[in-house]
Amino acid sequence: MRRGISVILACLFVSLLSASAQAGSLSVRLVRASHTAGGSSSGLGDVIPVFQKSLPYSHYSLAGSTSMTLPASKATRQLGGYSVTCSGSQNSLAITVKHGRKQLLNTSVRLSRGKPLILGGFPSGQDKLVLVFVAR
Amino acid sequence: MSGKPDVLLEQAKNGDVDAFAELFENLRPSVHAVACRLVGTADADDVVMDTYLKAWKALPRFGERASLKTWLYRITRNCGLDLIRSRSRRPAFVLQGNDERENPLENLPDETQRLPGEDLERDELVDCVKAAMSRLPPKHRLALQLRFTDDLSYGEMAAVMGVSIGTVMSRLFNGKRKLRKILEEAE
Amino acid sequence: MSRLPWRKIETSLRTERPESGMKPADAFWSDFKARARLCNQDSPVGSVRVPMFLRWGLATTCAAALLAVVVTQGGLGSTEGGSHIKSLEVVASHSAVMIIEDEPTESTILWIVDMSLDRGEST
Repeated sequence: MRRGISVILACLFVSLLSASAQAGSLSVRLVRASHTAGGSSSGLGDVIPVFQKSLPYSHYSLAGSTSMTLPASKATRQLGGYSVTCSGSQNSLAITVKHGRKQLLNTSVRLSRGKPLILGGFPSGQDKLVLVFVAR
Repeated sequence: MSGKPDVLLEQAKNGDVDAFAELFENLRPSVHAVACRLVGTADADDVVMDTYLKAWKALPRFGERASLKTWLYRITRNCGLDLIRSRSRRPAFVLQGNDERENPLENLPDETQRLPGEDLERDELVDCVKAAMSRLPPKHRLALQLRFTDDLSYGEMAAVMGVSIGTVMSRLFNGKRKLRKILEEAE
Repeated sequence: MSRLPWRKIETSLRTERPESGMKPADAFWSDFKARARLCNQDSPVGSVRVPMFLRWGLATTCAAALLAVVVTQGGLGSTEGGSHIKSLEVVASHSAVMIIEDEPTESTILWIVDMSLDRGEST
């Protein structure tokens, strides 16, 4: 009897844990970092302080945004000439960034809800492009 | 006697103190150097002894997958913290991995200001770097010293500093930037 | 203002090693052996057999505790630690990779220095 209750509790726990760890959405924003003014920084309030503290650019503007559901299965989105493909769940998300057909980087990350993961340094003329991933 | 490390490790785990001594003697200079960074040269030998006694006691539970050196550095850090806490006579507290607000290592002794041999003639840049190091925040100074003076890996530094490897890299990056800035301002 | 090469600074840092002053090996190890005799080594992990009924009890307690965390905190992994990088492969040509962790916001920046679009793996 006691063992039966334990098993039921364990199953309940595993299913709840699995559902809570995997369900959610992922917002992806493309940000232009530059030394010259231009564009709007609206929609970047959560990451501008981080940029200003750590990166050597004076202006940041939103160049595009998209979202996808998690877990994702090779979900691909186009942002400013770059394509971003995501697979997996919040705890283990594989991200591939391409420019046209050229693969630029592959990374595997763990995302905590509301804590931005920023991939940057993608060239765009004199500016740099930055991808901001936030799990919700 | 000079046995293979894995054989010595197995013997030491089974209570052979001579095997333990042979296995760990090679690591003693590195552990001593780290202890100097943490508590200063005067107390470093005590921290090394505490570290080795704790390592001896816990060795049977040492997992083969971990690096012996990194494991030993983690114990060194804990022994160093114990000593710093006993010095300050403050109530003990749990040190969180990335919590820098109450990190006793923030109050490290300034080794750069009391190195022996100050009277020796030195290269001008060495003096400038030394002076600039003393102006760095302790966490950045420790990161630069462990990496560039003591040649520790990122993993070993993380064990000594009690932070993640990412934080180690971040502190190195910021430490280098700040050190360069201080040096350029002094030019 | 001329930019000081990091290599020169690094060379200077290497000379910063404090004088060892380490106890001689003989003295250290004779002291150590005397003290080691007074403390027993721990038992290796895994040698203790936990009775089956205790294992189930423990598992149930842990499950219940974790269940409580999931229900009250809105999911594991959502509140502890920040986002971080587990692995990385940069295919494009570049000169360096920097990982910066911003501790107050628990965010992570991966910055690829001097990335060039000239070289990359075509798919």
